[in-house]
Amino acid sequence: MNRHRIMLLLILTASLLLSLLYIPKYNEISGDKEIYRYVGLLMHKGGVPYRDAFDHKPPLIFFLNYAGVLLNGWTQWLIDAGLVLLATFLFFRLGEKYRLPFPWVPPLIFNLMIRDHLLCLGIGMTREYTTVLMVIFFCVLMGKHRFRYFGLGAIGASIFFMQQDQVLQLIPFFLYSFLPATDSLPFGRRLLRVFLGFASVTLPLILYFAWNHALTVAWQDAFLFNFGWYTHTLKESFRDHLIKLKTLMDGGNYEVAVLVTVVLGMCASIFPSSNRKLILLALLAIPLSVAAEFMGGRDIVPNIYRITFTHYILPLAGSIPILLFCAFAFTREPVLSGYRAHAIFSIIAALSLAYTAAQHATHLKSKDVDEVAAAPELPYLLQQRLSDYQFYVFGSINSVYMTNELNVRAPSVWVYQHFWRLYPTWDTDLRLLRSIEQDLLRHRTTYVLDLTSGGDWFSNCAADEEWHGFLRDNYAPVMVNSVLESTLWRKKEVR
Amino acid sequence: MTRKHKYLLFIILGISFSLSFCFSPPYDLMRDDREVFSYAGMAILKGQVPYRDFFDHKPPGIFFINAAGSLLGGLWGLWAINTLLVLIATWMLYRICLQYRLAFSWLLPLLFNLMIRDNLISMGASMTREFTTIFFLFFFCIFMGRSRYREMSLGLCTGLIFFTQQEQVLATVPFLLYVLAAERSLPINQRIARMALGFGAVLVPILLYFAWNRSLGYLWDDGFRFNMIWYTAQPKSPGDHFRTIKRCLDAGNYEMPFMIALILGVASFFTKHKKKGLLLTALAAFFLSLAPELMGNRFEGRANPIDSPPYFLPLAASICALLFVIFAFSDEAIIGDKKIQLPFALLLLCSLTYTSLQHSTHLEKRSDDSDINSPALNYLRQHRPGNYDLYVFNDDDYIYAYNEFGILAPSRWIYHHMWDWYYRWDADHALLSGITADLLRHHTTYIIMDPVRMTQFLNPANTAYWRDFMEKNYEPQPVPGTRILWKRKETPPNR
Repeated sequence: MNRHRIMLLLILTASLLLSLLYIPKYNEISGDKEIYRYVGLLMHKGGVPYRDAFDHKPPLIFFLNYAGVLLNGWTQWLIDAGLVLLATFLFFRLGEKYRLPFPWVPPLIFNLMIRDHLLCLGIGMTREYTTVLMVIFFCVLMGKHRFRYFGLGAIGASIFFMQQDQVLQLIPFFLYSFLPATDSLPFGRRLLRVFLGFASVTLPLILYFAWNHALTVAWQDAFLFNFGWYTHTLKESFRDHLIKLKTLMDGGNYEVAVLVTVVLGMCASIFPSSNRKLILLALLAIPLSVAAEFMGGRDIVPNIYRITFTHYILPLAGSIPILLFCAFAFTREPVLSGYRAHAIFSIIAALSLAYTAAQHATHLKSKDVDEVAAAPELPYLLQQRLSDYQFYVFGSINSVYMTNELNVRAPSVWVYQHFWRLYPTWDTDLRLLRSIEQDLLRHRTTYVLDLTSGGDWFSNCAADEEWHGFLRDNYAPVMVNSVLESTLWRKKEVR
Repeated sequence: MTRKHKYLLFIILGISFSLSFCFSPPYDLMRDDREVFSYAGMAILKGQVPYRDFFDHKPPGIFFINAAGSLLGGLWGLWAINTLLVLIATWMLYRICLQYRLAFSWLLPLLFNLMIRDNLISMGASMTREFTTIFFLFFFCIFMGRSRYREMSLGLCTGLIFFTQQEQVLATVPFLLYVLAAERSLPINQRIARMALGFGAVLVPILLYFAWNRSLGYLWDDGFRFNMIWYTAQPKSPGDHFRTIKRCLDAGNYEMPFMIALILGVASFFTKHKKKGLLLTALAAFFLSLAPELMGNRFEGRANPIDSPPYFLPLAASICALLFVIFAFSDEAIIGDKKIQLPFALLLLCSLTYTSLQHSTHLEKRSDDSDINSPALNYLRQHRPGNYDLYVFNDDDYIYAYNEFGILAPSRWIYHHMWDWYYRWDADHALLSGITADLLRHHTTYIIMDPVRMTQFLNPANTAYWRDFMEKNYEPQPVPGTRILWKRKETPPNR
């Protein structure tokens, strides 16, 4: 076996080992992921995203989770690990092709960053997939395959229908792919092929929703909603966003890798280079990959010094190794090329991330000890052998985990409700809240897990009164395992 | 020095002064250790002798520096000394950078200033390790210089370091050994004699001072033996040390300079370098400057050892020394070239510059400190106590009160955390008895003591003894908004 084969084997092994840290048993519970899992479960039971469960993410993540439901979470892990392995393989091959002294360095940094437990929130987040797809996109872009442009369009669409804002980071590379010097193919044909690739993902999705009479609701929830509500919340200043980025990079140990790569990219763009345009475009892709941070604050109060919404910077796991690759592959300046320079900068960039991975690997925490998984209500509910519509969670996105563990459909489309907490102007006429109440009554839902107690959960007092009044009138608290304050409510018997 | 170099020096000194200004008295936040040092300075000027009349376990240098500061105008005097020393160190480092034709002569002086003024590590100005860091940089500049008094000056700096913070002297050892073993300019006996003479220039006046005041025994017991017996009580595991180092470097934004210096240092060792012996010496000093962290934890009975960021301040000098040796003697084609150093220069400075900008744009005022504005101190400002009339018990921050009122404490035990930290400390409560006797002898009117903190004594017998004394002799002074002020009972019970 030659040296490169051994290196490839080692990097693929490293990638697999890092993925193994997130097998279902150790994959942390996160509210967003539980929602995706729930919609996957719902589709398995014949439901349709948006129509039968509200979410504002584009649809691909639900299809992915639908596949995951088939084999108790392991399918999704297999898809996830497989995609990362594929990206690693392609990236390594690209490094070999461009004769990097250490072609395993950019894929290694990609793997360490995407598996950084301080930021990634386990596997299964939308931005994880878009990041992997971004690396595959770049590898396809740099290749010479005859279906290259078709592939670019298909991957671009996959990213768009997984997490819209992440498509921004592709713009510099799409621009590059259309530069006259990149290919001898006429511009029009390139465009047509990209369009065909894009359509190969878009059309099946449109047909699926049209077939299920859910096209309008998909458009409203997955696209319009994000422009209407999610970008009109708390306005943080540009400086606040920068501070938040620094806080996240610092807290997640991305800082060194990002700084080293950006500095190298800047230097490579100044020094003599064989492809300055691509280096500059890769530099531009860095801020675009974290555009999500700048698209409006998700917090109720500014949290710029706290490590929250960490997954917003996960796309750096794709854009940073790509820039590093460009800096190393295309510089003609001796000080940035050659074994010695690559070795020193690579060690600096990877050391902190490797430490984080080692710490994580030696301190794995089982999902079972998570507050939600260990809640006393769950074993109680499992004993009740509930059927669809008999259980509803209100007020905590993480606790949708229980709905998934019980394998039941929620009685309402509104499987999560934090809009009532985030936006004072949300549902001011209480129409949506009352629709939830009607659904609960209609389905004679037996149990409600209410996590809004304390009096300050709702941003609108009227909604607070409405919801708690409804609960008191129709449900009674259930004391589970001597918990002093019960969050579980059971439907009152009708006399 | 060319005109350009003069301008550069002027700019660097301007930056150094500006960074120092961020720690000027109005913005230098209150810290218990520094209040103890200020108290010591004031007490010396009032004729008291360190260790004999007030306990502390630091070597005496810091007390004399504070006494000089008090003479020059209190906090501003101390700040002036501190700033001046940093300016001199900056100038000396800049000079040797020019002398050895470093590619960026301004880089290391600027890095030194950014590191020593990193508010996330230093936690305020004029602490012992700040002075030893400055003295170490003097030491290094003298070491690299060609003065005829070089060996004597090295001994003098070593003495200053040893009598300001003993363990920091370890970082000088490799360089002293290098002078003795690797240099041939003078016969070895002469070199040793000159160094001893320099060290004696610090040692002898100190010994004479304490001998004159019949306090040599106190000096030995408190300033040296105490640290060997008590302060290394609970050793941390290597893993704990490693994690602490990572956390502190990360949180203080020292991570990048640390990693670059370490990786370049090790890499230079295996590439062409003109002075590998010196490189090894600088690397050894770099590791030895971490001695405070590696010398054991300061607490007993705590499950989770705490991190102390100021222990890492000496890296501000040792990193600069190591980088100097790397840059000055590396082969030009490897690290010595200007182009090669440019990415490193950017990487070394970016994170620390950000920290300084954050600090300088978010300066907190010392006068806003909650303890300074506490109701207890406001009350005492209206009923101003004289010498021995106020005692601060187990609440180190309030040692500030002695300094504000310019009064002496009734007991030599001006702080008490040893009772909180060590099970075996004062097992027979002989020391507490000494304190109570002093309070009664001086008819001390006020005691500042948080009743909650009294129960933090590890030995219940000590808690009982002190509570009994307080109940018999003192009663809470009814000051709105506080429970920490106690006043002597009008007619104390007969003893």
